Amino acid sequence: MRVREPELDSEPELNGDRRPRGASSGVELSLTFDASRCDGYGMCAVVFPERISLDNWGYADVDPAPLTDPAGLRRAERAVRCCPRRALGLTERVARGKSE
Amino acid sequence: MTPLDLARTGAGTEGASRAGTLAILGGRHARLLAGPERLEGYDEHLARLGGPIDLTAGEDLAAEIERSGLRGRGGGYFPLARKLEVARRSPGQPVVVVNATEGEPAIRKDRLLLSHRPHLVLDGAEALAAAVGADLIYVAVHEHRPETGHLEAAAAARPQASTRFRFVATPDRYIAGESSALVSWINGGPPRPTGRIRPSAVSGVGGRPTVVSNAETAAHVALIARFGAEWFGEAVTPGGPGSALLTVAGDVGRPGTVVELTGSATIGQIVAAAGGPTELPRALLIGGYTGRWIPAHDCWGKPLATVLSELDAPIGCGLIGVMGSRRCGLVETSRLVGWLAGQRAGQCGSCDLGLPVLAETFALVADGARGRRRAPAQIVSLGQSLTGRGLCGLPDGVVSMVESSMQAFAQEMALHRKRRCSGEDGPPVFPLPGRKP
Repeated sequence: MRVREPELDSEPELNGDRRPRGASSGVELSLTFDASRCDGYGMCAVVFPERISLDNWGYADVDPAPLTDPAGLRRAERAVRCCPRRALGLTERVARGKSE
Repeated sequence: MTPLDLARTGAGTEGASRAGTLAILGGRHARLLAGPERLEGYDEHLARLGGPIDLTAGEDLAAEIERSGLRGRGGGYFPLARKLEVARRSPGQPVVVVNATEGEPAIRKDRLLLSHRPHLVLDGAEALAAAVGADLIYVAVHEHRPETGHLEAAAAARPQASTRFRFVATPDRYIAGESSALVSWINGGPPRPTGRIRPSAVSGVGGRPTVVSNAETAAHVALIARFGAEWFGEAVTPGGPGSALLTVAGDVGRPGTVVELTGSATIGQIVAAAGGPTELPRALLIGGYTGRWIPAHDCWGKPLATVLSELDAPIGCGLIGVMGSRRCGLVETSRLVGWLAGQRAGQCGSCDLGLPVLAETFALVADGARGRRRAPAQIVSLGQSLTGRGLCGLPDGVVSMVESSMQAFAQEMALHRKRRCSGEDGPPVFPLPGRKP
């Protein structure tokens, strides 16, 4: 398992059907969340409400399940970039077998 | 490595010790607790166990640990061999950290090993270092405990001690004993968990692969290195192969008694080894302060393995805490929650804010005079927002313990709703260090 830093200057894809960078068959990407960094800015939930919500106090509640569609992955990348505290990340996990 | 009949080497047959602070149960002879009921010196230790471990046979040691199936005894029961494998595969020369901090206040097993069998712990640390190719062994201990002195003196009495062991004093905080918090502390940072984002076995002390081992785990390694995996596996407990140390606490004749479980034993037998209950028992807290409550009548005659299976709970740190009937289980739970909330690292928002609210809300449930009707529902919803959100397992553990208490003390909950409480006033059943009386 390694944490992948997203590209700072990537553009939203107009065509829509793009393979996530670095992914190959059998590899899934999912959001990572460092709760000790979160200060409740909340922009991540605005950008990716399908997978990120805010709790009573405004802290992020992040769904760690794998991201299977390109649109979701783009939103995830934007959420990762918009966090001022860099609390979010993206990680590759091999789909079959043990992760470490 | 020749098997040795430990029964011939001294005290260690079934039953309680004369001093009463330790006992062996389960149908097999003692292992960790075999030997004299006091501090055992280095020469005595070597004579009893048949000589030192061959530290040049690192690969063999690693293979034997793997075959043994030994799981960590710090509460997590994670397979030790897997940690060793990850450390060996990761870049950099590994480091071993022995966690002898024992932050759970009611648990005494690691302290007992430090004061009675320090050389077992240190042998195990050296064996782990050999197995993983580590050149450094950190030993993390509580600053102010007398057992720390015993361990340091024992290390000094061993050959080549000064080049191998580095003692690190940890602050008196529950969370400081969590493995990643300990690594952070050794690295010069705050004693706060860093989570599973980068496991210590991959990158820990100084960025090097780090194997963090509980003191009891290291002691088991010391015996596996001498007597082998087969011998180790002849004792089986709910935590897996090998014997396990339990601590009996609370309303018993000899609170703080450490019991080495080598097989099956009932809750009643385990408590009897600590002098039995001082009054009719109402409930037990099993595992640790973030363990599970269970009514005494639901578990007394059952084997520990059955009780854990019914609770769907792990053996944890091996706490067998007994609470008598004159107390109120809700009051005791409230005290535990309050104490645990005060021990939070404070670095994750949902726990930093949520755990004190859980403590305050539960205090309302516990207060027979002022209890609020809606508090139980609020607790359930708070529990959901606390679980799985932080960097460490503390909030999740507190929530599980609280939920188990609401089930175990359902009768008391009903009584409290009518503004009545059957419990007597008194000091807490389990120790809460630093708590204002």
